[in-house]
Amino acid sequence: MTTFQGRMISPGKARGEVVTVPEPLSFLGGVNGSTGEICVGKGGNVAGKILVFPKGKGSTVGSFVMYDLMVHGKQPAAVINESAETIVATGAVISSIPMVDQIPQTDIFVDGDIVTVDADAGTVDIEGVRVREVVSSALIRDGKVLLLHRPDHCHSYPGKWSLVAGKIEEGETEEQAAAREVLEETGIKVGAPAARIAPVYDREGSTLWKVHPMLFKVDSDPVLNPENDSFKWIDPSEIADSDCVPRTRDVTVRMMQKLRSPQFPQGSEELPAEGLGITVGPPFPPSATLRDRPERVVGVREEPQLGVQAVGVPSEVDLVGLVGLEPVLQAVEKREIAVQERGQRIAEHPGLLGERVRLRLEDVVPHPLGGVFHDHESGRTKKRLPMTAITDA
Amino acid sequence: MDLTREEEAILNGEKGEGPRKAMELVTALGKIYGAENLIDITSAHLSGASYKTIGDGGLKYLEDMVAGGARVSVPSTLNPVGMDRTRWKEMHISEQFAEKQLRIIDLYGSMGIKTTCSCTPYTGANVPKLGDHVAWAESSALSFVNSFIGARTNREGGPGALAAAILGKTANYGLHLDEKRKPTVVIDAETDGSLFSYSLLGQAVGMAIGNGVPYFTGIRPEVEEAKTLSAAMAASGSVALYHVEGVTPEAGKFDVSELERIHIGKKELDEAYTKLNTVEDVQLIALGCPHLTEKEMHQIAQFLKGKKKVRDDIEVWFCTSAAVREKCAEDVKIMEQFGPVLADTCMVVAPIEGTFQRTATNSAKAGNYLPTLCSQKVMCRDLAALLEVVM
Repeated sequence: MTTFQGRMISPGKARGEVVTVPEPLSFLGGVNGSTGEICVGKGGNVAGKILVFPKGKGSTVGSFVMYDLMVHGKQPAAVINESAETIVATGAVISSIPMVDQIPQTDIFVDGDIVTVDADAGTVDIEGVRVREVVSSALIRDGKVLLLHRPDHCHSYPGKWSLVAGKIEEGETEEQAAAREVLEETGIKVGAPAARIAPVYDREGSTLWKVHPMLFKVDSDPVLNPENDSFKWIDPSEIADSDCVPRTRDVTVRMMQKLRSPQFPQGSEELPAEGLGITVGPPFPPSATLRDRPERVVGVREEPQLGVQAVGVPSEVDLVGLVGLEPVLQAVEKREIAVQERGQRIAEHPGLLGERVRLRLEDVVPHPLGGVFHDHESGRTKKRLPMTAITDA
Repeated sequence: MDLTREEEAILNGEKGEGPRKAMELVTALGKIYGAENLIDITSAHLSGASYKTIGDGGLKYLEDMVAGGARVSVPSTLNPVGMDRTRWKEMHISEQFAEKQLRIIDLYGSMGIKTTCSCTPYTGANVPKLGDHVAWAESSALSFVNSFIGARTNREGGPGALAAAILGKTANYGLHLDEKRKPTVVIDAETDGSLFSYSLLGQAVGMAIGNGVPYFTGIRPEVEEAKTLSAAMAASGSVALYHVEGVTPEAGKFDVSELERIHIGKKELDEAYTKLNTVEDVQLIALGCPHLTEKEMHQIAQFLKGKKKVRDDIEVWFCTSAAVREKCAEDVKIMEQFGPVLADTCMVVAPIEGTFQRTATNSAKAGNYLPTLCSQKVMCRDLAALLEVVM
């Protein structure tokens, strides 16, 4: 059994079979209020099931469709979201449907999984699924990424192209495991990664791979060991998902983007439409302080699966002691993000280095309306869409 | 979230089931938006009043709330419903719809809510003061009270605003906080100052910025213009608060010299106009989105005085609140020569799609919602231009 810690939105407990909707769901038009039938995608029925979808969308009437389901006895036993929004949260609460959000990725679940939701504790248990931690390294040379081809007899994803991937062994850190795997599979020695993003999950049968992506810059060709039978260098934008292990293109492109803005002061990024999540920007020099630039935005929804306060839109973040990406990711994962005194230089806090990073989140008040986002690279204010389009008729 | 002992007690059901459910909802929403605590409110305005929009699920929800003894604890008003509660037959409404709609109004009434059924409660039935924390749904009204009055509310949904009204509290985040009321962009507006230009201006700004807190220069809106602008920006974008230099009460507090400036002039208004207009001939001309004020009623009556409607194939509806209709009895007489002066309702929340496919409006808000909520093609023009169509 594998347990995920999420956050309670609507209280209660339930155990049942999963039905998934892979896309954001509008209950109005998406679910029949009297029968529980799902009218979008692959269909199915929500009645008595653990309903799993990334997030709600659409008309606020959706809340009342959920109520209608309850009136007809066709409501889901529980709802699991990556990020709750007003419509579904309202519907779940008024219809007394247990609901949990801030689960890293809803595609962790597949139809038919038996899941226990303890919304009061914010936990979700999946039965019969085991987590295995792996590293996955993108080696970059001249803007191209190295893909290795797995032999057809290989156990996991046979015949597919992948980054340099392997399991983390007992006692290894993620970065040590990555360096070891790169050396074993390519003969190339690497140091610290040039970029990292938060873990992604990938479900393969009863195994849930927790993948730690990293990016290394290299300058030589690989010498393969028997684990792979060929290699190629390819432009990341040309990676074909169908030939590769899941998310190869996605994680590579995201790490490349991070690489392109290595210094924090230039490193603002446009928030995506969903705009959900407080995450971290690229690393910036340890001596940097943002005292003189309190308006700088570094909240970028790069890793929604981090889950910590993964709601709302940061509008202003006064970052005090960010020393690098990895410790931030760890701190976020351990839910250790704490408030720091304003304006103190990280150099005055050597104890933080490599240990635990503190972001000042005082000004990060999530905002239902979205907001305007200042992009420092272009010096322009860009618009940001709201969390949900609320119609209020 | 930090709850007081009393709030905890409500959440634990010590004050009964209704308040417990209300507290669950307010705290759940507060959690989503990162609120640290709850805050007392002085009034609420509720949406989710038309049977067309809330359906049987919503009706049952209200019945259950009433059966559970729910009552509001602060002055609360209600949004327009799907029909005029007495003249619904003139709107081609079915008996069945009318029966359910009247039931919904009764249910809200029995919870202690004033069933004014208007989207402009700030003109009389429900008027917050500067600095009041309130919980308002209805995007145009909440933007008006945030901006023009300086009360403080987020963009509440129907059930959330009802829960807040029951508790007399809402989650403290977003526009309740000073920090979040700061302008985010300056809009240098260039318009001809007509009421219709405020519709186009709102449409253009919503299209340009989506959301955020615009700070306007170059305009001098009064109530009617602010009403129109609020509605348009909340529909084409999701603006819930704006400031107008020299006009709105909080505008003077901010230094906007560092903000990005966007110029909205003729070109942008023309684009907005093009976006709003999707048809040339119409079956219904509906005015009063948001509801017509007394001043607008006088102006329309003045304009129509001595003129005659010749186009029998086009219906004209004037939408306002019951209170304004009563006050403007003389104007109503003139206007009724052209079409019914309806109270409690509007073309957006009424089930007009059963009767019409092409509707004209002078409101950018209606121009945005008529295609989606009522399956209409839309003509959006200045009020006089619209009325001349039928003369």
